[in-house]
Formats: sequence, structure tokens, C-alpha cells
Amino acid sequence: MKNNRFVYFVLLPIFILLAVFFVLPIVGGFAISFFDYNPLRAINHFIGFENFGKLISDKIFLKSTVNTLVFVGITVTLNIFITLVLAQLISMLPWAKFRAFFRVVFFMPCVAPLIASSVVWGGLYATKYGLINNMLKNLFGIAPVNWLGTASHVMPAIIIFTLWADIGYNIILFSAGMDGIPPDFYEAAEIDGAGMIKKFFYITLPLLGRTVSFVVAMTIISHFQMFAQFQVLAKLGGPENSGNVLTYYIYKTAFQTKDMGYASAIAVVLFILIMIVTVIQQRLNRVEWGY
Amino acid sequence: MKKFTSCALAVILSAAMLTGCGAPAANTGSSPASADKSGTGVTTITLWSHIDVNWNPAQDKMIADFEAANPDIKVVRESFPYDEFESKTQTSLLSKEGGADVYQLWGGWAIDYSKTGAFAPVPDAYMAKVKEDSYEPVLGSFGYNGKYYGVPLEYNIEYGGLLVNTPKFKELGIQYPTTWDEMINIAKKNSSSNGAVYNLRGLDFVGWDTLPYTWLSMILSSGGSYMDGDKFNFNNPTGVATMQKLVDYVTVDKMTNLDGLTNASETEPYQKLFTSAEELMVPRGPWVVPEGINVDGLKYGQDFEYVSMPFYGPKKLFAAETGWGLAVNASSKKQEAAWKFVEFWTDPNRVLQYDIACGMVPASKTAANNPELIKAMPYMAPLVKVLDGGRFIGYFNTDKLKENVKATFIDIVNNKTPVAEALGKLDSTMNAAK
Repeated sequence: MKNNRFVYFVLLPIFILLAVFFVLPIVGGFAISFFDYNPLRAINHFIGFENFGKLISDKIFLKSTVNTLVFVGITVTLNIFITLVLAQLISMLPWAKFRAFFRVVFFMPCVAPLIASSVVWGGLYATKYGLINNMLKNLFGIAPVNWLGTASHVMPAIIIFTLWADIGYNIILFSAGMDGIPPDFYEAAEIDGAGMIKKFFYITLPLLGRTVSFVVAMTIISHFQMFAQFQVLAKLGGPENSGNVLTYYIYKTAFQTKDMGYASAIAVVLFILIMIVTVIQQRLNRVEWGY
Repeated sequence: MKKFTSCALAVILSAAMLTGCGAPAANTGSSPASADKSGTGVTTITLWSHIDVNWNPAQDKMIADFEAANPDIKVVRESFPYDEFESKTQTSLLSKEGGADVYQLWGGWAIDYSKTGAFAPVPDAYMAKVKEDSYEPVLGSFGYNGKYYGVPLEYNIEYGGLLVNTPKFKELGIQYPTTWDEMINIAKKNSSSNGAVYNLRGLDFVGWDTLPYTWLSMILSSGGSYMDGDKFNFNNPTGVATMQKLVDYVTVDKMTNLDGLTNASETEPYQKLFTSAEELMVPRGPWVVPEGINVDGLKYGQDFEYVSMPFYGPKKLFAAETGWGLAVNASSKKQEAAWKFVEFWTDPNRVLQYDIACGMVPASKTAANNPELIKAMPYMAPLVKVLDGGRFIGYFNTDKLKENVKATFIDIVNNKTPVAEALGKLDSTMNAAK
């Protein structure tokens, strides 16, 4: 009993912090979505579900929802695939210093602020003098591409940038997971004649199950909330709103249109979307394996 | 020992958190809610503005002159990056304890803030003087319910002037255009592109501000209109004809493309004119001229010039929204000092010097017609002649208008939507948003 009271007492500050800075804003945002809300007004009118009703007929909201789902679906899938492969390749390197070197190299983009990296990549994607178009022209003779000014190219361009900026973190997590797998399993597999690919699919992947489940969940949640690169690389939402995602639409609605009630309603939808996707993902990836 | 250390840490963390969440510390330098506590009889007020390499030194000079004339009032300027300035202003006005006493305020924002009581109404006697000496568009957005909540510093004019690439004109051996047809012919003849890459954009009017203002001026100068009472009505014969012209300039004549609206990796057309040989003519406000000189180190008259932009139709009319002005925080406990500062700043002789330093067109008729303006900024000459042709764009959020005009134009150009159909949708969207 005494121990329990002590534990509660010690955990109290962090609970207060979580309540004030995480739980209350979520509840507040949810509440605001039922009002025609301008924070500078003395009285804001309760309008019930009117903001949510508006969402159904809002073409830009529907487009940004589709863009968000496409972005998350493609980027997370590619991210997990690439980082698993790279982590495996790095773990196969014979010398520890080599392995450390490559982990650092891949992690470095994660350290740079996303907004600064986005601005730099904006220059790389420039139609006339951008490095990417120059390389494509000199190496493959491809005519300059208007990466950020063509509706069909904006999302792929942002996906490529996001992969570059984000794979380092997952590589480190997967590498740590792989380092934790006892070498006995690989030795036994080698004795049985298993090659590199079979070892990866039958030993590494299953025993990395919990790590994969955690990484996928975290990556999905973080990608739903990405904003910086869309604000920088998709000018005003991009051509025909091709780069308009829910986070950018929330920001625009709240701070440019100043309709904070409607912005909160969009945020509630985003919250529900993330929760649904994460729950489904956790159910599908229930891991019973241990070793 | 472990338990004691854990308890001590928990107490320290709680104390630190509660202190941070508590009442703000008294800050006589920047809080409008705190009275002067220095005991020296000096009142300190705060001015918030956005960071600008030309405007900030001009503001500091104004502050220094004001403090010299009013030794009992001190002004502290705090400036923020432009992209954050509006949200910082909005957030600060929420907290009646924080924020500034005087805000540099964009007219378009005033439409939202005036209704909320966040800003103090301008004293009637002072406002009467301002109204008598101001052009029509400069006051529009600051007014609400018979009162005004801001005082204009400038006449925001995004139509009337044309940035031209002087070396390119010399190379091509052509004169600057004096009529609309001349301008279009020069642009058509000299534009050149290769797929997605433009070698030279003849007339780059595709931009967040330039597209809507060019179009609205085309409508007004043709004798048309875009409002029917307080409802939008773009889908009329003049609106359709003028929009079709602009679309043809992009799709048929290939004077430019949509990059100015859609491509984040491209700089703005006027910046491209300053830094590359890709632009021949760019319609833009006069504020870009000091940027070319002071930021890009260009020589006016040699590297670029600013000439009259011809009117599309017979009437020299254009739409203008209310530009930058000054407003006083309604929560400020130092409003008397704040209004004194604002009135000092907006005196026609003083504001003229400020506008010259910032490359702004004065809101005050007295200042705009002062020969000193043209002497200091010869490029203002074509604009000063047309200022009376400015019409207040309308009491609505112009960002919504610009957003929807942009979407409409892209839709017509990319998807070949018929202009009348697109303008019908534009009318519905804008009227629903009102």
C-alpha cells in the first residue's frame, strides 16, 4: 500500500503534464468543433454537428483525405521495405565500424529540421536549374520535369523526399532489433543449408515481429501528422490541391480562413482516422513470437 | 535514499511545472497590461511588426523621432518572420495580458479582427482628419459598424506598375509598351519555352496577387463589375471575356505557365526578373523596387525599371485592398501613449518619409502629391497619376478570393473547363463563403 502511494506521488507530475498538454487540448479541440469558433470573439455560437456536415460536401476536404491516405499508404509501405532491407544489409557488414558508419550516414537526414530539408529539396526539384533535372538530363537524356508544378508529380516528389528524410530512424530501430536476435538461430539455419533470403524470411522477420509492429505503428502515426514538407513543397496546396493533406488543410482553415471550429472538426476526423488505422494495424500484426 | 531522491525530484518537477503555468511575470517592456513600474515617469509601449530589411530601419527611425519629441514615452519594436506574424498577432490578442500595444496590421486581417473588439476604435477627431486626406481603398477594411479600427500607412496597389527587364528590352531593341495591345504583342512575340522550361516569359501575370488584380482591373476598366450588391457576380459577359483572354495568354500565346501559382521550387516572378534572365515583364506593386535595389543589389534604370502598366479597357480603374496600417490593442492600458505614437507616425509629412524608405505608395493624398515623393522615387510617377482610379475591392476576406480565383484559373487551364462554367462555380463558392 505504502509503495503504491509512493508510486502515484512520484508519477503525479508527469500525469499532470500529460493531462494539461495532451489530454485537455484534445478534449478542447473536440469541443471547439461544435462551435462557430473565433478565439478573438467574446461569444462563439454552438452549432452542433454543422461543421461535420460541411465536411461531406467539401471537395477540398475529400481530396486532402484521399491525398493523406495515399501518402501514408505508399510512404509507410516503402519505408518499412527499404529500411528492413538496408538494416539487413548493414547488419551483414563484417566490421562493427562499417556498420556504425552506415547507420550514422542514414540517420543524418533525421537530425536536420524537416522544414530546412524541405527548402533545400525545393531547390533540387527546380525545373530549370534543379540538380535532379540536371542529373536526369545528363545521365539519361530526360527532358526537364516540372516536379512541383505538375499535379501528378507533386505527391511522388514529396514521397521521395519523405523517404530520404525519415528512413534513418527506422534503420536504427530495425538494426537494434536484428542485433538482439541470438546468432544460434542463424548457425542452425546455415547447418540446414538455408541461404541469405531464407534466413531473412524464416528467422529475421519472424523474430523481429514485435519491432516491426512497433515501427509500423509509429511510422503510420507520424506520417499522418506530417506537415512541414507539404507546406514548403506543395505551394498553396500544390497544383489542383495535389499536395493538400489534412494537416495542411487544418492549418489553412484555422489560421488563414480563421474558421477554427471547422478546422477542429477536420482535426477530429484526422484523429479518428489515425485511431482506426492504428487499431487495424495492431490487430493484424499481433505477434506471439518470442525466443 | 532512492525513495528520498525520487520524492525530491517529483517535488522539484511539480514546482517547476506549476511555476511555468502560473501568472506571467511582470514585464514593463512589452506587456500592454502592465503599467510603468520604473518610477521614472516614462511609459513604455510595444510595437509589433514583421521582419523586413527595408521597413524595420524606417520604423526604428520613426521610433527615434517620436521618442525625441516625446521623452516621456519609449517605444520598443519587436519583429517576427512574415510567415509567423499573423498567427502570432492572433495568438497574442487572445491573451489580454500579453502582446503589443501597437500592431502593424494588414487591412485584410482587420476584417476579421474588427468584429471581435480586439482592437481599439480610432478616436473620432483623429479619424475625421485621416478620412479627409485618404484615398478610398485605403480605409475600406479598417471600418466596421461606423467605426474604424486601424489607420492606413500605405495605398496597397498591385496594379498600375510593370517591372521590366531593361537589359533584355535593349537587347531586343524594343521600347516599353504604352498600350495594352503593345504590351501583349511584345510578350507574345518574345516569349520562348522548351517543354516545361521557359527561356523567357513575356508577361508573367500568374501569381497569388497579380492574377486576381490584373483580372479585376480588366473587368473594371472595361466598364464591367464583379459584384451585384453584396453578392459576387463574375459570371457575366465582361468577366467571362476577360478571363478567357488571360487563359489564352497562357495556353495559346504561352507567355508564361502556372508556376507562379503552383510551383514551390520556383521563386516569385518578380524575384526571377531580379535574379535571372527568365522574365521580360512582371506586373507588381512598387514595393518590389527597393527590394531589387537593396536586397539584390541592382541598379534602377540599368538592371530594371518600373513603368506604367497599361489598362485593358478605356477606364483607368483597378481594384485595391486595404494595405498595411497601424492598430492599437483594445486591452492595452497605455492607449493614450499608443494613439499619440500612431498619430505622430501618420502625420502626412512624416509618413511620406516612411513610405519613401519602404517603397510604399502613401495612403495620404497630401503625401502622395508631395513633389518630394517623385523626387525620391521617380518610379512612382506612373502610379501617382492613377491613384484616384482605385476602387476598394470589397469587404471580404481577400485571401479566400485569391485562393478561389487561383483554383478557378488552374481548373480552366489544366482541365479545359469552359470559362462560364468555372466562373459560375466561383460565384457559388464565394457567395457561400460570405
